Amino acid sequence: MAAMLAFPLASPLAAQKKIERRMPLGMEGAFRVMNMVGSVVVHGWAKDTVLIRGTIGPGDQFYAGGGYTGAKMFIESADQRDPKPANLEIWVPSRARVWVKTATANIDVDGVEGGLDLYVVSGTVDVTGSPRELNAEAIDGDIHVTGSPAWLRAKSASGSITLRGGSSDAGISTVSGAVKVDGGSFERTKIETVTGNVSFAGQVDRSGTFDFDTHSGAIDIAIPDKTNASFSVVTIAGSIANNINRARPTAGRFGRGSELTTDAGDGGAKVSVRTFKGSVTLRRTVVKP
Amino acid sequence: MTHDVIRHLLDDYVTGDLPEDARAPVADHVATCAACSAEVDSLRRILARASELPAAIEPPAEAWSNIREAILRDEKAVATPIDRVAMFRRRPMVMGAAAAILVAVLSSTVTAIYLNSRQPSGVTTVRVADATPATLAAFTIEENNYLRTAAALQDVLDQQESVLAPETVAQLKASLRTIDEAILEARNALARDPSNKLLVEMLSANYKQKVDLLRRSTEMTRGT
Repeated sequence: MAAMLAFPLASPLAAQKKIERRMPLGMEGAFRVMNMVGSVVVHGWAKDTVLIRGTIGPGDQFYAGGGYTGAKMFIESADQRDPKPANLEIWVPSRARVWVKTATANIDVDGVEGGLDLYVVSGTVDVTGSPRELNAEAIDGDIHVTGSPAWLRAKSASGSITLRGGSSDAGISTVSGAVKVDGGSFERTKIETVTGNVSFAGQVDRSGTFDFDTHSGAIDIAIPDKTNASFSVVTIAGSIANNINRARPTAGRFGRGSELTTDAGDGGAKVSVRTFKGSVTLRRTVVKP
Repeated sequence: MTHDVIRHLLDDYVTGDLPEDARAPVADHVATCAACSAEVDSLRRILARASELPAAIEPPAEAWSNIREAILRDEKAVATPIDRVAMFRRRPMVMGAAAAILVAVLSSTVTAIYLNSRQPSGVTTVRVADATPATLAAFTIEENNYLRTAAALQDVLDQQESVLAPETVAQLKASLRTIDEAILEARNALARDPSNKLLVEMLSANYKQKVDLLRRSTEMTRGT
């Protein structure tokens, strides 16, 4: 932590529109970025160097500093009440751990294989690639991931979350934002919303655990033909449509709602679906080769 | 460096992680800025209190029987959750003191939750505030904790609201309303069906969502 925050404030580049800075950073070093408004684009590359290019508002100041194991940069706005957009493009060592925080700036990351911690208030987060760890949080911004992070945590309130890929350990949460997961292979997965709809289409590992929870959001789960999984679906006031086999929902064990317990294939993966009043659909899908 | 920049460096300043050449401008600013000085004092108090915390606490053997008795007493005297919130709101001094303590405790609790959530699969750790209570009585106690935590975080967020764009504040409030409506709906269902463990779990999940959203919002508005 101390090394990462080692922070010799480098000379500010006052009143310049364009910025460019190179700094040495180890291939697995840590890099922190803070830019409140505008955009941050991060690329992973195979060099032990950070390169920052971009434009900042007149009078704004760009600070960067640090050492080989950790470095940090941020933009200081001349007018804090009306900050001007700063648009940054940053190249980092591909295995670096990268931390980015913005308010309304969008974050785009590609090619980073290390760790990503990305925070926006109302901007969007777009990640392409398969970082070892990805933690993305937004308040009302959308989060899009294309790739297969081994460890994924994505949270938004009203923003939507889309994952095109898989993960061995995924946790996704929204309040009203929709969640769409499509295409990859999954082991441990937890998806929860309050009113947001959930759409999951992917391969479930037979030793995996899968939890889907909503209050009123609809849950649509599509699994490939040869899936081995045990489903436990419970609703208080929602409907259950089972299109994976002939099992039909029964009255709930607490005297209300409905339940469905059924196996696909030989059973295996434990799939738990719980919703207060959302509709649940289980169906088959075909995985494209 | 401006106030807003220095504000983000206060954590490092207090913990001593700020390099020497950055300490001087921060120290100069803190000496003349009442808000930053108060923040530094607050951070130092939190650190001091945190350092006094034991690494682990072994509950005494009679803990469970005492808890059970307390639950039974609590069940008899229990007010509705809304009544309890109102009680706190009527006592701003108590609420303020509770909020200050809770924020201090929360910082370590939230860190524990955060660290716990980042453990890779298969690693067994002590789970903090993550288990769903098995009984309604146990949940009643947990519900009190959620309400107090949410109220404390809401107070912090209210103070920091001005740093957020109005449209973001509106979205955030809409999201909190959405969760509150879900809580109310699940709570009413539980009142009609108090033995329904599924409803306890759903209600608990809704509270967790609310506390988590408030926590994330306060952290994002606070800076680094």
